[in-house]
Amino acid sequence: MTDKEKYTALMQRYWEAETTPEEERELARYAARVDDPDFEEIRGVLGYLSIGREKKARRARTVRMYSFAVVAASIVAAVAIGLNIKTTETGHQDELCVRYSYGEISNNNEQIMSSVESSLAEFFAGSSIADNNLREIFQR
Amino acid sequence: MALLLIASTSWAQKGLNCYPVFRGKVVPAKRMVVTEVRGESMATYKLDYYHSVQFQVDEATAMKVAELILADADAAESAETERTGELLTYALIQPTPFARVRRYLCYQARPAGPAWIITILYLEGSATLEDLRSMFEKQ
Repeated sequence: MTDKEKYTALMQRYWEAETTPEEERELARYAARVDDPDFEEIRGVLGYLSIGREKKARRARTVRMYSFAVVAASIVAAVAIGLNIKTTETGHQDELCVRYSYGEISNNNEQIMSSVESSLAEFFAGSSIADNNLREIFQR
Repeated sequence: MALLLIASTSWAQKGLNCYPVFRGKVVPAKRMVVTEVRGESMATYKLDYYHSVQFQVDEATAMKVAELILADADAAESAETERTGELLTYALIQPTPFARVRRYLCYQARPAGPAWIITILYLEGSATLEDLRSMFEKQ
């Protein structure tokens, strides 16, 4: 089995969501080093994920380098201005609010959250299965 | 961009049979409305993650999607399902919690002429089913 065959099979398993994180890293490494259009799509996806990992790693290194000095300076500054120190970074890195609608990306939080609310209400507003049955019948 | 959006999917969602639908493997991503919200915006609902897809398909594709949903219902902690004729038209599924996080899979198929409009929501968070129902029944 050639490398290409091996990684094509692995890529197929990735699309079926059956790969392990280690296999995904291996696939990302292969996709990055070959100039093969068959791997262009997976290169984009895994490249995006690895950018996220790299940012996290860089952030961790930065924190280690400046940890003591920055924390000490922050405490002094916070006491001086009478504020509590809060680490704002935690929680924000996982914030996401996006809609992909027939090829168009939207980040309009208000619109997206309004549609989220409507969708949730549709499922959890307490209408019984009998109500749903009647609705289906009248919609037909 | 579709790939970037889909790539951020929750790890817990990957184990579900209907996961390929969210990945655009059953209906192409360009023919779907995909919504993904994570973080503080969902805290109001005691949820951490919301991922939905909506698309219009013919009956054969609708049946294919319904089979995946039914497979998740079979493996779930609890599931309410409803059919119209042969087709699954409604499902509220609670897959087993993942790392103590509650998960919900909501499915609806509505007729639109000869086609079907399918909506699937995947939710993660601490909210119980009772929490979600009481939040919305007052509205």
